[in-house]
Amino acid sequence: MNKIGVQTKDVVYDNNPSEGFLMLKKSGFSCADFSLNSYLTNTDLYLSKVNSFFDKSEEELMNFFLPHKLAAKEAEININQMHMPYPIFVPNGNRKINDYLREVVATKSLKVCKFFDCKYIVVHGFKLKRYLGSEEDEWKETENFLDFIAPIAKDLEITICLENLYASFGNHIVEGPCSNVDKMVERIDRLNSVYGTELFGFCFDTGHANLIGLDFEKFITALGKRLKVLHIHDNDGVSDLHKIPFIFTKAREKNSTTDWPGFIRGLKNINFNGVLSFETAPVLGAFPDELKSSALSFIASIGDYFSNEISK
Amino acid sequence: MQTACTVKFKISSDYAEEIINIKEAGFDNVSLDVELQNFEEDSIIFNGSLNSMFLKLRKNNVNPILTKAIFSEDYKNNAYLTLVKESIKICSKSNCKYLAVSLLNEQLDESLNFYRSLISCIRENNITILLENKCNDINGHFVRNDFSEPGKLNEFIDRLNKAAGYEAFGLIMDVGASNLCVQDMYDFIIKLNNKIKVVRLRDNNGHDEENLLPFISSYKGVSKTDWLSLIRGLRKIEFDGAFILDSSDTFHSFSPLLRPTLLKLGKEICDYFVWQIGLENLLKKYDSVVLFGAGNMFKNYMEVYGEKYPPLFTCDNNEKLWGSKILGIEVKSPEALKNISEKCGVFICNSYYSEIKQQLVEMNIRNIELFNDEFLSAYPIDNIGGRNE
Repeated sequence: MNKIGVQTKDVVYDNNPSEGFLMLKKSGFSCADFSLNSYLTNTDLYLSKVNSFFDKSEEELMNFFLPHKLAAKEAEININQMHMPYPIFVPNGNRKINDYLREVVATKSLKVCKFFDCKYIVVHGFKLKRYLGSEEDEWKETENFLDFIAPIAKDLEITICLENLYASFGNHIVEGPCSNVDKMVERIDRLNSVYGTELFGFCFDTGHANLIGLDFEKFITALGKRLKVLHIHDNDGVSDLHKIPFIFTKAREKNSTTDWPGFIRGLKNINFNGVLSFETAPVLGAFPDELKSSALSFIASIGDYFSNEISK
Repeated sequence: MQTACTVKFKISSDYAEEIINIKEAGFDNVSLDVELQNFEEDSIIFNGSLNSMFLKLRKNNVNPILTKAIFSEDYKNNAYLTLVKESIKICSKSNCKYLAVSLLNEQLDESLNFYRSLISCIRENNITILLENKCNDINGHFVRNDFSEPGKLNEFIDRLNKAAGYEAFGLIMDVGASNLCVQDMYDFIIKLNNKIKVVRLRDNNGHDEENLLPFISSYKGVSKTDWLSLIRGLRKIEFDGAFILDSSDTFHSFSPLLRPTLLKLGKEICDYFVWQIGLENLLKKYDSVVLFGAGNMFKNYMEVYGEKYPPLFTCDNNEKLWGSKILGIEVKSPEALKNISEKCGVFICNSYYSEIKQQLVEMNIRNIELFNDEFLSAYPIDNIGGRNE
């Protein structure tokens, strides 16, 4: 049976991490996706605003996160995956910001990941296709970045997981980085061959995949053992809503518009034994505080359902 | 490249006025979308109706370049196969080059035998069969299937052409279907390359099956279809096929009194795509080029084409710029254009096209072309990510 996890955002707070981790445990989770990206947000980065969080020395960062680490351990929650802040490259940003993101934020994120004894860190590819003209040219830039962090990750025995993304102009969604499974399979295999170890893997994000019409079963099946971690969430096919699975319907029959059966079949096909991890923080923000625990329990029960279906 | 307008052809309807309007809008070609709503009844009169339609088109000097048969029927039915073969013969007699045969609810591999069974008939009649990209509808949400995946489509068409021994099969790229399943159109086009014979131009909101006029669906001024990726891809493969305008929902939402004007706009839109995609071919046509304009469009030209097609100089109506150099290119008075070679093209790099073109025509300048930076192959950002700092 698969373990069930959820992101720490809007559950685990810095002033009292114990409370959050205990709530996760009580709700039925055994794993957590640590939202390191919350400490330097994408909304700020796109405005070229960088806070001073990652100016902390490595020792200061470890001291900062020690209570979180101990709280997770006490609550028997395993931090199995983590999200590096994103974007990790700002096209309209200056050199100072982009160097800082690469040399300071990315590097220290890996160190924090190791501190938590966490094996997987999720990284976003660069969004440059519109400027550079092709996805291949865009990937070259991402790969340059990966080549920079790879030796550090290898040394720390962390697997870098690339995530399928979408891009948007106006409110129109288009296919984003790492959404072509054939290309990603080739790239992951090639990079792992270069580094002589399974340094790279994949994070399949169901919400992003749904927005760009990917066939879940085919994508996951093609990934095979390269699939290491998940971001499970749902949306209406229009916006990246990060909601609970099965919520959205459209047609008269009121069946889900997201292909959850295909998702399950894909995971069955590859005998996925990783964590079924939910990226559903906005759900918690939508419910009143009094119902947060119930909402989390419900999410965990959906995880149990998926796990049962996969193991059948 | 050719352009054509779609006619949704229902058996036993009269299309005389529609054909006249299409011709008056400037279209010399049409694509017929044939709908058989009741297979049993309509198939009996299908041949006669199709022949009659082709006659009407010929009478009005309009060429059918594609016929698309939309059948609501199990393709494993022999009657369907017979009808398709008869369609092939009728198309051949009417010089209609392409027949689109789309099967409903099929998987690629299962349909292989069906398409193979058409090969000898195709060969005898010198017709190309076109498949079409599609997506699946999961309870109102569109997702990709085998007919969306460029790799699978490419391989499938290769198998069919290998069985035929020549290029008997190709593809219609349906822009609307690509948009519905949000796929990267540039990648799609590059993979399928010259197998794409026809591009079906239609717009939609990305969520509903709509046949809208291109550029109509937008939100706060931003289009809901990724026209940039489409144009980039077609330009890259030097597409030389046909554009078929399919805007039936837009047309039918307008009063019949306004449809002729709408058709003319549709033709201009098709011509716009032809021009955009053929931009580099225009540059190649000339032994040398000069530009008119020294502003942002000139700079964009230089960024994307400056190395491959370096201009001899540029000119501008602003006297203060004469004699200066921008990006290494001298800015001259427009009078300098009077001394250029006959094999030199003059590309207007300024959005005031009409006024400048008029100015140049009055100066008896020849080889006047329009450059455009709305859909460039790359969008240079000054100093991307600060790399030049």
